[in-house]
Amino acid sequence: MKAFIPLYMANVREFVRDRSALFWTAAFPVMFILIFGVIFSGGDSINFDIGVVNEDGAASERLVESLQAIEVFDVTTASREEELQALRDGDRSAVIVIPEGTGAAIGSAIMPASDRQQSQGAALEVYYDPADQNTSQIVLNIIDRIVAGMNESITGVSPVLTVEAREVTATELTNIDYLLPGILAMSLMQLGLFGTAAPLVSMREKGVLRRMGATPLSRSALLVSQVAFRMTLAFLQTAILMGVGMLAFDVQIQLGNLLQIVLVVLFGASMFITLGYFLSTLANTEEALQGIVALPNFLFMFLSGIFWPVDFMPNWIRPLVDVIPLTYLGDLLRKVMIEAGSYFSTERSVLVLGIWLAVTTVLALRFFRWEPQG
Amino acid sequence: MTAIEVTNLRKVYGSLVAVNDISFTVNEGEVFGILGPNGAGKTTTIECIEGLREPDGGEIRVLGQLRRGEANGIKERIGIQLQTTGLYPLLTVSELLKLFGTFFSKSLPVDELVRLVSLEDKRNTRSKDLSGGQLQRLSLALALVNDPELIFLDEPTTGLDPQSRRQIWNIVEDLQRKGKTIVLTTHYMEEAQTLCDRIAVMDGGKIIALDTPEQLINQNFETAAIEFDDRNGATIEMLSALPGVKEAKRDGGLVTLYSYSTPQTIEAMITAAREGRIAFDDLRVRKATLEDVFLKLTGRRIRD
Repeated sequence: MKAFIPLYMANVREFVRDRSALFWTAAFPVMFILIFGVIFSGGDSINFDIGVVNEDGAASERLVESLQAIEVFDVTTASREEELQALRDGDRSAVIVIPEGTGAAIGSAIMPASDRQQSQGAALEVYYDPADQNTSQIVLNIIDRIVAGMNESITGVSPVLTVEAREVTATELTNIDYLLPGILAMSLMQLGLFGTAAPLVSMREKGVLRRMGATPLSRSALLVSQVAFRMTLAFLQTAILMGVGMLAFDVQIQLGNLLQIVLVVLFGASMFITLGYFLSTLANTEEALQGIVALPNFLFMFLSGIFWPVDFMPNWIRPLVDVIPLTYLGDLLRKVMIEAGSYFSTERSVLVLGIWLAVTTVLALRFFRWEPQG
Repeated sequence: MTAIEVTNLRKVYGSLVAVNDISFTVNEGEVFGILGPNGAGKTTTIECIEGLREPDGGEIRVLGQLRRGEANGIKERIGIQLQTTGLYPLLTVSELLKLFGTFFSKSLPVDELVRLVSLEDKRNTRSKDLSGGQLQRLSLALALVNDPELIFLDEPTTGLDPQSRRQIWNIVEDLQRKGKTIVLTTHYMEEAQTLCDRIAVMDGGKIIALDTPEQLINQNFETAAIEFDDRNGATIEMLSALPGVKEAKRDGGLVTLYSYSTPQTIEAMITAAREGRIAFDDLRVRKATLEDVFLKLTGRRIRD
């Protein structure tokens, strides 16, 4: 294995001297986040205009007050018709309707926390505009937390309501917070599709693999050094994106979760790098490969919920969405990086990504070639 | 001492028999050439010996060891130049030589390698910026990284200009003086004749002749070759009947007469021309070469 470091350094030199590779790996994701950041954040953070319709009267006044207390919510109160019209006009991010009997249900305080969705009296109606998906998702997420907090407080453990509300206001989630983990997930995918498969096919096409195969160098040493180098790139991208996000857009990354973030990046990058190795077996030339990777690239990018929440996609497409690995990588990254917006359970995400990793590993090992098929 | 022993080697691609049951030995310290046209089976033969291809039949011994599968022990002792060498395009000459050195348990210093192939002033040039001749010399240097006893060169000068070819020849002659065993394939007659101690002539997957260049020529021709461009289309029969002619060949308009007695044949040609039976241009007389041997053995020129 004395060739490991020199081979790794050969990869580094090739990479650093190749301006287009440097661009696609380092500059492209940053550009992405800058563009999204400028479009969506427009400042430090977004305030959401929330319409609150209190149909329950004085009994729910405390609930209205607690909603008003949330810093990122600019709450207006009016009638249902007026507020829904304002939502249609684009003047509201969401409208929360507190139906009659809510206060009574809270007052009775007999509702177990786990049953809150089923209990009739306390079901808040939330209206939102699906066209403004990122905003809606964040607002729904915040409301969800408030309700969860209230339910806990109602069941009489402790006055968690205010604590929860403060936590939400402290986090001040914006669209860019929401998008950053998705962009990182996309970068890791493209590291596998373009950053791994393409150079591999090129090295095979030009006979680089063959030439090194004519020496005593073990083939596993060559592969290990390549994977190690790609993994370095994965962490480089993670660091760049997190750095730009935090410095330029004040993204609230949970640095306390650094270990989890590292683990998820390692897991996701392994999966996509292995996918790259498998995809490289399907083409003899770099041109042919570009055609082959374009399909998963676009499919995964737009159907995975890294740019908009999974919920907003039509039902018929959901089976596809639910098997795309990028869906789960984005979701996991969102969970560990900004502690929000997680749609799937961690177990499910890890399971689906694990299956992908296992399948691509088997396929890559089975079909990997050192010479073009001829 | 025998460096390589090939017995009944056979390699088949689908329905094509690329190498058809060939046997030969290469002695230590000799330059052994495999000469033949494209598609003769030269590269397949050399790559089977190198261990890059798995033979379908026969036995190969390299440096006393039976070749089977990935034998890295032998890879340490041989140097391989492939017909086309793929390299990291953005690494420099010395970076590549250093990198390849780490693949072997022992390696020559980069300084010595660049001197061997006269690339001292290109040490810091990236491989993609080298000329064809320089790239070929780099690829030769890569084959020498581990100071091998046995060196394989697959068409080392194909596509190079005469000056670059001459440079490669000088390097090969240097290596030979150092006592290295060299196996090279080529379709250049002149190259085989200049460099090789012995030559196996291959055609259609078979070895059709194997000897020293001098012996190959002498065995086939005790004659000189008279060549001219024929304007009249004289028949082979008529040409063969000229005094002193052992054999007549025609390749398009180019006629070659192999003659035991050059003055006699030329005199008869001039007489025939005066009588209008033949007309010739550009008459020249030369010694027979390997080119003639190949033409005689196969009925074709090697570049066809």
